[in-house]
Amino acid sequence: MHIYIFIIALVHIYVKRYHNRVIKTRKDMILVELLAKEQIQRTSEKGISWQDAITLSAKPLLDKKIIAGDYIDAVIAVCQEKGPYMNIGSQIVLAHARPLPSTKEACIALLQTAEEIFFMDEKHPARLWFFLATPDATSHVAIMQKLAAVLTDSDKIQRLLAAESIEILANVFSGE
Amino acid sequence: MKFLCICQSGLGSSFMVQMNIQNVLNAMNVKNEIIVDHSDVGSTTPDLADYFFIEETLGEAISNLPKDRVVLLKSLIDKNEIQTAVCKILDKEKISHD
Repeated sequence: MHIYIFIIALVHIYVKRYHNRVIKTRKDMILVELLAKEQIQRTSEKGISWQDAITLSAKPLLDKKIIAGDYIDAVIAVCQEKGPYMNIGSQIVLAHARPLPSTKEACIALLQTAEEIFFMDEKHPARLWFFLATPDATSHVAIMQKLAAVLTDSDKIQRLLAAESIEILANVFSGE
Repeated sequence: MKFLCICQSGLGSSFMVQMNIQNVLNAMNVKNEIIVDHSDVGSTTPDLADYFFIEETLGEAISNLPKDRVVLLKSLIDKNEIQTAVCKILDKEKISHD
């Protein structure tokens, strides 16, 4: 009889542990999938150009070799050619271009600048610089869905603008 | 009825608008079937959809599309702006919504 109770208790502990681990993994996954801390940067540098901001925002992806320099060049070229349409909402730029073979997987990075940087002209100031890359037309679907959920939430945008650490920025994306 | 969201690459900004329109249609309880898709400026022709959504600074790039079927958006993530634009079309087309 005692042995039965012991076994049931043991199973109970095991299930609980497993359950906790699953929950923890899921939570981490949401964070990792959209924007891991390593892909978020802040800068308080003064007088940087929009080209600098885009190049800096892409640096974590470049360092990890998920993208290559030619893609960053392509993004800047599209902006120069087509104007500030990637300023998708107040204070937000979503920098991207057509897929290139050098992009290994769909990925996203974020740079928060302490100062407003004019994207092309003074009508388009921005402090939140998202950099998006995708190897094809569909791999980035999950990223875009999560990003849209955050960016259409004005409360979350305010938190991103007010954030004073990378942890706080990352928490906005992990739903905390 | 088909809505097509357009941007230069047909991947990022246009996709963002597509998702936001779909959310607005769901929130407004629209029962009619409305297809929402996204595409790039270069491959968009007037026969591809009933209405086209595009960021306003790209307006000139789509001069081949009839103006009365084009919606120019200031923000691609402002739910209110998108809802107002979608509402206007639904009313014009006599499609019921909340």
